Amino acid sequence: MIETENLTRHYGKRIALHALSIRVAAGEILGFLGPNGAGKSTTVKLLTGMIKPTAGRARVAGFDVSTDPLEVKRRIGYVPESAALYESLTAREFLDVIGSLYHEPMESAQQRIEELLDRFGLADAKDQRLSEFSKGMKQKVLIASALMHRPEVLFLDEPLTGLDANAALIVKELIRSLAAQGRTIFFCSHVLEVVERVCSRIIIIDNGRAIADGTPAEIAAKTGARSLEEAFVALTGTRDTAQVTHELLEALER
Amino acid sequence: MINRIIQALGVDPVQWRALVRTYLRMDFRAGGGATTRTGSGRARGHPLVGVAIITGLGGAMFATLAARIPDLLVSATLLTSYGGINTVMLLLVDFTGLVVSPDDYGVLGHRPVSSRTYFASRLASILAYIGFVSVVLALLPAVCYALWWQLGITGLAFTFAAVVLCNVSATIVIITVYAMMLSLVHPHRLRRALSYLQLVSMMGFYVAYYLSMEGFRNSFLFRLSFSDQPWMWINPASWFAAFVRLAAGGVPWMVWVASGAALAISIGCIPLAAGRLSLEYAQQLAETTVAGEPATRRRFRLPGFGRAESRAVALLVSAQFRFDQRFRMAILGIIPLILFYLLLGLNQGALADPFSPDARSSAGVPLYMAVVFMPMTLHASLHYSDSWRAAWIFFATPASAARLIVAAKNIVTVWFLGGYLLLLAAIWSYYYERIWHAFFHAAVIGLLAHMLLQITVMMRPSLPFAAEPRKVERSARLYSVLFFGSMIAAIIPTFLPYVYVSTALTAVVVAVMVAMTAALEYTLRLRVTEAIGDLEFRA
Repeated sequence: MIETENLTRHYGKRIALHALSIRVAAGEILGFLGPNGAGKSTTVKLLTGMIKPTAGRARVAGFDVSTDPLEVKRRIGYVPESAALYESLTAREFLDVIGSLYHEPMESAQQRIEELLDRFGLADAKDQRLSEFSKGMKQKVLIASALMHRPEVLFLDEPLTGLDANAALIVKELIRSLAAQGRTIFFCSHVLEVVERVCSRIIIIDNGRAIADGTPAEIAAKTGARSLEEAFVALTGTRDTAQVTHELLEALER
Repeated sequence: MINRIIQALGVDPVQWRALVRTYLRMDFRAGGGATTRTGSGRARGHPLVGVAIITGLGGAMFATLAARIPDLLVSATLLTSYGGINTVMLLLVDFTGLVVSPDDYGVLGHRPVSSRTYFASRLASILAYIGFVSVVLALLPAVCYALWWQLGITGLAFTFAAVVLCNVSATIVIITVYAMMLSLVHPHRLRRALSYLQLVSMMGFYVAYYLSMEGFRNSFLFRLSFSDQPWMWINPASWFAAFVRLAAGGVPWMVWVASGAALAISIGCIPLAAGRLSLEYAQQLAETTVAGEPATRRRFRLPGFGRAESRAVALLVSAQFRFDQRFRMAILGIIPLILFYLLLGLNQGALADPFSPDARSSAGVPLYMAVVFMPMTLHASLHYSDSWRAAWIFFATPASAARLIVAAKNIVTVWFLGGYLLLLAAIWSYYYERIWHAFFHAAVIGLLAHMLLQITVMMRPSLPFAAEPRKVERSARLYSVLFFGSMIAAIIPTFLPYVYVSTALTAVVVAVMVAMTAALEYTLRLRVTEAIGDLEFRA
């Protein structure tokens, strides 16, 4: 469902992603991890056709993202990291617009909008403007908008941000169920416990390069760590947390 | 039928309809930011109403010209020229609000929307707006041509066609130029390039505005006749004006050629822009709006604002100037205005020492226009920002909103108005009999301008950079400032000579002004504290 071959992206002189080659099968939930600025969002933007690669190629749902971006976009759903919404619209209006962009028949789209808003607990707020929504409510609208057209591949960039515990549980379960239906999930998150629990496979990138690929247990075993968290710290070279904390506290004392 | 036409243009009709509906809906709704619980913190009514009123007044002026100028082609050319310049100004002041929103890329970048569909929907929404402004501008002149010139319904229709097509073409040309610059220049450099473009076009607008005002004052516009001059066809707006001349009948061949050229421009420029206005364009625009000067540059500090809220506002103003393109362009757009009025004012006798009995009472009106416009326009520019969401800091910290607002006013006064007055004083020092006359006079008009600024802030107190930019709101404000500012500025020189009649009177007047400033400052703080009492943040 997702295939990349030496996928590379430069921003001026800076290399954001270097020769990424991965393959994600249908029904797989891939956890895509990395420290801040590692190249996760760049990868997602490349795979969703939002930006073009400097070199290499990528195929999503059977189509090349560079040559057939519209075909790719018809088959994917994307929950971006930041709440990119037209905030002067109401939740219902926004989902209505999204449905139209995917050519969803009006009646079934309306029905699906009502159902999605209801299931996400937004039925009472559906005619409120998105600017009045809380962060979690906006996140629910974003998730609903990514699911509206029943995509084959779902890109989720920190999808649980702002969600309450109940909503987070529902979304996690939803992700598993969608994968069970044969949809591919590309899951980016910094919350390692969630990734460990939800994803069947994990790729860790750092400085634009893939540095680990496997199940959480395999990655932990390769690095000699006891958990994914320890493995992540070992692989991405994070400084000693106790030392950093001490330095921070010292700075506050000055 | 419509669907088929749209499809034939390579545009997805379903997506087009959905996007146009969305853009129009968004344009007519209030934005977020700092507002009162009832929403009254924002401007009452839609800014489009303000633009319509000011444009309608402009239309009335051109209807008067149409009735008074014996040469139909001349009056129509003045109308279309003003319409074109006005459109360019509107687009440049409000470009990211009017043409393409940087938000589009985040929302639509991963959706199956083709660049052509995106272009068509954005163009439709902008043309709806430009069409509205054009119709309002053309309404009274069209009625004048129909009834006064007895051109009937044809004259009415051709006037509307001339103004609408001229403004639409100006829109597309601006979009194309902007898009070309965006594709050729890196965002960092583009900011600078756009600033220069803004300076040039703002200068054009101010010149046109001032000349039309002067033309009215001196009645020279009523005697204008140049339709037999070949050079008049250099101005493309005259090609569109030729439509109105066509309605009168018995036209020379050149008018036919000009009308044909206008029609060709209107049709031909659409495909020119079509290939450029795309989602990639929106992405580049998004990069431009956040692209700042290189971080290695030394940071610009505003001395004198070193404590608490005033320091925070001073830092914000300097940072916004570096990073917020909208704010930067608004500030830079004022420079040509100042230069223009400065030169014009000095040319009109503002160099005469006001303490001298020979000083004319009407000398230097344009100079005082700049003194009035600048603080008012700058203060209006401090209101909006693309980073308005960051205004939560004013609400989540123990900062005094009243002090923040007053600090913003003081920054405008000290740094912008103060700088301008120092420059004036330096120039006057050379020409006046005594140097202190120059500085004293600068201080007097500075006090006057400051009082006007105090009144402006009192009328509409707002936290700095805390309101979401709304379509045409900035343009509407600029129009209001130009319109009302001109009236206030015209009063200043009539009043000033009396201030310097005798030392005693000067002392009394200055004392009264200082007392009024102090009273206004006290009232302003009370008013601001009261007005922001129920201010809350919506994002």
